[in-house]
Amino acid sequence: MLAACTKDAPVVPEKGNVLANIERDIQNGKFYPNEPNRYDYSSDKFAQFVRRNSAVYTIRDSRTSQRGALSLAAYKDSVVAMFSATHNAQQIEEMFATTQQAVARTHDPIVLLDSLHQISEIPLEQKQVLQSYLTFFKNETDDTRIRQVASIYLHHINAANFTELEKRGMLTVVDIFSENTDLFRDETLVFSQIFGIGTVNRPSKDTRCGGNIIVGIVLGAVTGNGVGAVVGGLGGVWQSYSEGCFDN
Amino acid sequence: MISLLWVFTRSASTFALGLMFWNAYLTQMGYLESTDLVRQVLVPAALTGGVLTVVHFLVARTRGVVADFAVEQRAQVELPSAGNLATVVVEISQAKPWKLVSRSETEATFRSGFRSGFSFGEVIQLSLKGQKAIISSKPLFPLTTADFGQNFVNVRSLAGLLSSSPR
Repeated sequence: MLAACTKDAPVVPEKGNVLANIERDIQNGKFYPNEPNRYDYSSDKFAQFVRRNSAVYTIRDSRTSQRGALSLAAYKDSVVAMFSATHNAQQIEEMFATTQQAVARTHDPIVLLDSLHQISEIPLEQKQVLQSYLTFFKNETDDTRIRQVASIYLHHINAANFTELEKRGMLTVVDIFSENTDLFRDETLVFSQIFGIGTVNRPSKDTRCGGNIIVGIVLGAVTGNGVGAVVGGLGGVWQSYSEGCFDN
Repeated sequence: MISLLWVFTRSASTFALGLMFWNAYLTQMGYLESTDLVRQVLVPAALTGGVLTVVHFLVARTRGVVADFAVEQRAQVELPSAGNLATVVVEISQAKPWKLVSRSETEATFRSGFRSGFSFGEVIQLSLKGQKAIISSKPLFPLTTADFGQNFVNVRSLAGLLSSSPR
């Protein structure tokens, strides 16, 4: 099925309206084929993200005085310390237990999202947007339609007032599900493991886009010397442009 | 016209082969689900090969090529008198920035280096038989399909040198 490309003026984000805007666009059959996912989580970009946000999940372990990757015990300690004014340690332990139970109990991401919202890990609007996407995905088998609707979700999540961390997580879910259409059909997959699928060892967008240009230059130089290198390089630039490499 | 078609076919085929390997790598690495042969290989290869052929044609024409646009050029020259290869080689070495690669009793091979974006180098061969000299020039790299008339210029200038110099 072919759908017309849509190039609208940027959406002005309104809190609480993201899902309504998405549903309106789906009804109007809109398609944003060049809408970029601003969060490239291919391996090297992910490494950059980890380094940039290392303060979030690495702490100085008071017991060993070493700064490093966070163990579950150290993570729990830090959460207990952070919420010591409002929660006691027992309550926080119960929160952890609930989360772990939720993850262990279900393979259904829609149910899991409800659980994560109940323990305040995911805000209501973000949960609703994700659940709406996953519900659509679960009932749709046409890959073209999945890509079209996924582009609408990408477009509105990009423009929404969510935090960067929330957007990154949501766009990851949208992308991974639209690129791995059998996720709902494979019952052996645990939701918490899904985030690794299809993202590791993938060449980054930079590799692909830069590669197009370098391959063009090399092929041009081989066939037509210096002038050929320029022609091949321009061909590579065009190829990268048409694949959305210069979209921001 | 056939020579231009040949230039286009060879250029486009080289591009197509290279792009097929590149897209196979991307597919192998999981970036692409599959290679769209038309959109990702054939169309870009044909476009790039086409542009390269047109540029080759236009530049070669300004440098004097009229009929044969192939990169391998050949010419036969009648010398004013029977030539001695050793003398001819010295003459060529003085007049041209070419490097003598090999020499036998009747044949000499020269190599030109990188001079401009039009050429990464050529192999020029000269063969003497009495008053006849056979000159050929071809690109240094066998896959080169567009030389923008450089080999034609080599053959023409060497032919001019040999036919005009008294010896």
